[in-house]
Amino acid sequence: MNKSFTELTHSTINNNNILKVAICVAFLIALPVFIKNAFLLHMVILVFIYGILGLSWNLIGGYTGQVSFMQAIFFGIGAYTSSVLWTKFGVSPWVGIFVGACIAVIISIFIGILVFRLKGHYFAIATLALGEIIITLVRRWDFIGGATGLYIPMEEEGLINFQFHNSKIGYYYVSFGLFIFAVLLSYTINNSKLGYYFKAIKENDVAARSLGIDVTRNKLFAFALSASIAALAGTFYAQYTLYIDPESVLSITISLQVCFIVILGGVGTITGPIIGAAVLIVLQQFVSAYFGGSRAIHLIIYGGSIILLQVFEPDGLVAIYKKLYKKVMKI
Amino acid sequence: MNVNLLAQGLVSGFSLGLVFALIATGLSLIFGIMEIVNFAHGEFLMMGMYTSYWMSILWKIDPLFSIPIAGALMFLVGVINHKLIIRRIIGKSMLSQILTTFGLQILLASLAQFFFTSDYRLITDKILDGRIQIGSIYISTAQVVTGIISAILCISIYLLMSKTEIGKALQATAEDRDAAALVGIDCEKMFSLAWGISGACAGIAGAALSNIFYIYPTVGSAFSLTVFVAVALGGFGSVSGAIFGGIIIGIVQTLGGLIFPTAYKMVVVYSVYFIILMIKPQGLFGRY
Repeated sequence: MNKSFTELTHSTINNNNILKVAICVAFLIALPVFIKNAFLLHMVILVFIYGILGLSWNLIGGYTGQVSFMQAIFFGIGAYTSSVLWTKFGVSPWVGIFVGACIAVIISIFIGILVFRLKGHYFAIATLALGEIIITLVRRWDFIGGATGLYIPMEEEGLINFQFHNSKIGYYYVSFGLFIFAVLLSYTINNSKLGYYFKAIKENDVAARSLGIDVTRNKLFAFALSASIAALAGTFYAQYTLYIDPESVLSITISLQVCFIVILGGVGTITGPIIGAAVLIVLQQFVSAYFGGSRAIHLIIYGGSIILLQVFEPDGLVAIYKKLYKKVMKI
Repeated sequence: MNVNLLAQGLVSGFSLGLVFALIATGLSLIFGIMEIVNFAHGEFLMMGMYTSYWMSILWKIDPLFSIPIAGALMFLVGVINHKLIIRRIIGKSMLSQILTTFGLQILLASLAQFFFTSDYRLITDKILDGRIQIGSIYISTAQVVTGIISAILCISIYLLMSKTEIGKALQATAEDRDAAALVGIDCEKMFSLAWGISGACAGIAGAALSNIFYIYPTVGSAFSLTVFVAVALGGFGSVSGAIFGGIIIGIVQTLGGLIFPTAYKMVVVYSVYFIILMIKPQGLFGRY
């Protein structure tokens, strides 16, 4: 009998793999001690950022089944809010990160009320159109930088200023902290009643409604949670690169990449977005380094691999791993 | 903003809208038959444009005569796309299908960039040069001819769908695949045919547009979202909806660009789209 989505995604972390998880966490905590190479640390930080984004999209797109293509918008809201508050009003980025998440929540609820009456493809295209509207408007909004973007002035290094210059270690641990937060949040939701509501909506929203689940309210909740986590990643990114513009934090390319990460790893799982982010970022950096340039070979590989993956294993790497594991166990 | 400008905008917009209608028809056909949104549709358009360009440069074939060539070529590309890729993702989740066509979009656009470089190209040596004057309204010959060709094709496809045996077979497959198979309709053939027609629509529109617009690898994306909006506006799966949607969006885009600052043109288009969606979520003529 085919397992339902809810059955398949239940409890990815349990007593059996608590040890495995603990080892992974310990490894990640200790990593900067024996890896000092700035490029490698940068890559891991990128994996954390995209892992957070992937986990955030997983809440709305994976569990609740609402395929939105505007995740980058909330990422950008976080980046712009904290950066504008800091550069124009002198508000610390640690306050800004919280305000950014709040604004992302408010905007997501506002957007959600408009678009959640749409289903399936209509919803997806509506999010695409909204993303385009917002990035066009931001390009013309000179107060927050317009098309030129915002520079965040360099401050003295330190946690208070949310900036580090001598090495990447500070950024590493902050992003790791946010990453762990996103993982814990996903895990809590996955096994909670709220999580079951989300998954019920994905599997059959009419049946869910007839069971008394307030579908719209839960969709909004999922969207808001998803937006807030993405915004956290956005603020971090702004403080990490000290420069943001519409292309780097709001573009559809980012939204698409986030979707692809989750589906590459395995939609609706927790390890899925993490593995997807790790594989994609590492591959991208290396392919770009060797094949990048004006002839766009890395994009040919990117597009081609998306197609191949969907044709041969749409359930992602986690599914491939499970199938291989079963085969190996039978031997 | 006077009456002349308004009339000019309407005429221009109507002509552009007819081309949008043709592109949108191809897109809507695919969704009607197999509920797949082809996000690479804009790239088929781009390939039609490049076909016309290279025919012009390499063999001195005028863009006007490239239209049937591009149509035939893109028909083949559509069929190949179905047989190689689409056939294998039919049963899969919506997210999977959307991502596949997005992947195809990225692949085709970057292949174009690889082979043709990202240089902007323009066809300058063409029959459809110059403009026509009707009263105080100017319209380029290219706009008139492309509009007429698009209109003829849209009507042809509409008639094909509603009056011919094949059209009825396509509709049957769209309505209920299993029932259609039970009465002896070869659904695989219908799918391939639909993809062929869809590709041809985009290819012909592309060849037609190559008389007017610059050609570059990512030109597909410039039209893509607008056409999706036109299809969603008309209602996915409805050919007449796609035609109306295309014309409306063409007019809204052109008038929007005249009334508001040009940079906000698309914001106007998407906003109109949203307003109509709020009132009728399944589009004007939509079935789903």
